[in-house]
Amino acid sequence: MEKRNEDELLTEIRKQNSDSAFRELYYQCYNRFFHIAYYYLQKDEWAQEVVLDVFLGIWNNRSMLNDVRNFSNYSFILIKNASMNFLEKENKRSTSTLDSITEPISSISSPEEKLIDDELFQCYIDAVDALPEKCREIFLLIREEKKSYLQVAELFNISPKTVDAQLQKAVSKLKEKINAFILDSK
Amino acid sequence: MNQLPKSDNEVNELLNKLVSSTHSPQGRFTANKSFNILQKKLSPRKYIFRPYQYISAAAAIVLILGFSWMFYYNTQSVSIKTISTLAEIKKIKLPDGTQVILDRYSSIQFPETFKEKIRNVNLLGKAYFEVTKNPAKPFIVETQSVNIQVLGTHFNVDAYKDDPSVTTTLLEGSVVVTNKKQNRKLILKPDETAIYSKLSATFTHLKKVDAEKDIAWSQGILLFNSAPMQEIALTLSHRFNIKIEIDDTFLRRHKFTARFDNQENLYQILDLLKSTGNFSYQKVDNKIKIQLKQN
Repeated sequence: MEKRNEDELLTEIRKQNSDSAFRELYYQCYNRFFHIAYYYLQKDEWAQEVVLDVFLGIWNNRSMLNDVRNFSNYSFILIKNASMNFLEKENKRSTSTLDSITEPISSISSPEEKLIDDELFQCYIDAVDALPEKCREIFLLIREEKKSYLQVAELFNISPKTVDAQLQKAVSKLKEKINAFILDSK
Repeated sequence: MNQLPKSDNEVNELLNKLVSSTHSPQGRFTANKSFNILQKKLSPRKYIFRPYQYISAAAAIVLILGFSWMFYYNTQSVSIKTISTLAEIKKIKLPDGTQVILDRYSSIQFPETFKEKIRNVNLLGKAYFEVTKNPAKPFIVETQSVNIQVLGTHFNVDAYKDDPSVTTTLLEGSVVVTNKKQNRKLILKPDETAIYSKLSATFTHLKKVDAEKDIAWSQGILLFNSAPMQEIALTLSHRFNIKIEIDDTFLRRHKFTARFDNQENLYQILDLLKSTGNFSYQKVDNKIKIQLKQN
């Protein structure tokens, strides 16, 4: 499926109440959203819940979507905030049931460090998102899911050599963007 | 802070860190699997229909609800509701659909559901009734001294506590008015009034009355058609919840014809009457005293 411009989809959703455009947006963005939510929550169930709630929010507030200038940035913040709220609620619940006053202190790093982490993470997510589809899938399968070249080659019906070439391409692009980000934030 | 430029190794390490900081949705968390959940969230009322499962579940629920309702209905004593008015007129709908307009400083009592064989309500004060027809369940308005039995009809009852009489005026249908001792009874036709005197314990039967006049109050209007001052004072005392005393016998019988609407307060009304009736009034200890003008 060809990737369509998200702004186009948003306009269609807003103006025509198009649920097919909404579905397209969903399938196009779900994985990216999930990555972001999981980064903050580190739990599949929670990430799924937050991502679905964000989609629900986008649909329910579709009339206000015309204010969105940069959807990639907007959605990142949306998911980040939703995740934070979710964590806060979870924390309240678990502290009220008195079973964990354990970890939080160690997991909270200094604000500056956290800020850079978040921004670096967003840079990474955007860079991954910007990769060509096949290139991205191969990168994620091998680096994230630790699949072997052979497995991936079979899956896409291509040679392991091509897999390697695609992976290298992905890695070099990502590194390029990370480098640029570090230079930028200096 | 960090050195510039980053070595390739450092960037590689950073990338590794980033890769392992999150992951793609797997298994039941994929976009495909999650879409069903999203759809359910989007339209909570849509659900997948699996006939047998749902029908049996629904049947079980209906049975449970039915039994518990029957149990509740049969064991629960019906609670009695009381609605009272102060300086306002209230429209009330009874559980059987009967419409009641309750006048100022009046109160009505009725059960939350009419379970008994008779629809019984208690009235103190004045009210206009439009009774929903139900021949199987007679409707009875109980006042302190008389009962009014109805079979779907429109009528007005004036039964303030301290009044010497209870007045029932019929607009439509037919009613039977009986006193509490059940030894006196009157059947009213439309445009007839039954006045029960508490003192003499007898009914006065008025025919061809202007029944509309008797319910003018329900629109907030006061109508007096050559009414004696005593009657006017009584009506005003109910409307404004204040005692009115008239010192002079002549004055009590003096007749007025007048019409007042909702906007006018007690003093405006008295001032108007005073100008034609040759009397003066003053407020003493929450009472209005009316006297013949001295001259």
